[in-house]
Amino acid sequence: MVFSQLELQPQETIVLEVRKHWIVFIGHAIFSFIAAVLPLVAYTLLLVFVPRTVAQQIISHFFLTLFVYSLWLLLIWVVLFIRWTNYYLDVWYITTERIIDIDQKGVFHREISNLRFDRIQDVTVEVSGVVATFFKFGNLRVQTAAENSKDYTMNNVSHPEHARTIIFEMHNKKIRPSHIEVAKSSEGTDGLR
Amino acid sequence: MTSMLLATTTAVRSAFGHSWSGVLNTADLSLKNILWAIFTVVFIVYVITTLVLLFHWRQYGMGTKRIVAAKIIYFFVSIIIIAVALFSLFFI
Repeated sequence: MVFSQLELQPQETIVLEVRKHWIVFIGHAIFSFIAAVLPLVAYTLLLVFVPRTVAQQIISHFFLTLFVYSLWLLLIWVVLFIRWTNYYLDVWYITTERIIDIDQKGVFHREISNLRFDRIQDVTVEVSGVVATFFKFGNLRVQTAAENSKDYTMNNVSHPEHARTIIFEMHNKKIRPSHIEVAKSSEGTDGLR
Repeated sequence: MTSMLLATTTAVRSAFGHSWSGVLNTADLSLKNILWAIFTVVFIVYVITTLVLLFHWRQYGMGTKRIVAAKIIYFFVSIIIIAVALFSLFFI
């Protein structure tokens, strides 16, 4: 994989990719499938229920129907892939230094934010419902310590508990050494006094 | 419902003096031109959208296997659909 677009620091590596659960895209896929099949059902019903003479007229223009239907399928296919692209490119990268939040809101609307681990105050996971529990997806919210800064939220994340654990691990790795240093330095000054 | 359809069919026939296929046959040349124009517009939109998608996949896809698989599936199915559209257009 090529991560050059993320502009990682020399020592920085990616620990985890957090993506939305595939069930989110399945919803779009089912909708597209229904949209693709609906004209076929309508066509069949039309042939069954209209008088035979009218049905014969419709059948005689089979290629015209096929042409219109293939354009309809092409439209559905393109829309499906636009949705897949929006779904797939919406991702969080948890690196050794920070969380990179890439929010793909539309084909021409993309937001990239960085969140350093030392600014994280809390990570909340919300799994609600039978389906979410069974398929292990939920909402992940990272609250920041700074004032006037937004919370970072990703809905319908796959395995949110695992992501939360990794974020806490990285957070502790980043925070603890500095705390120890502060503690040591304060001990040192106390000793000097 | 059936009687309404029959009534409509009869009305159209009487209005044009011949059957539906006859109506379409007399306008075949213009109909085909319109269909070619529609196909051209749809194809141009398809090409532009595909270029936008390719840009996103290349720029932000990080070269993952899923992106490569998506490209293959997208183009494979698209080519089949466009071929069917063209095929049907020649036989109209």
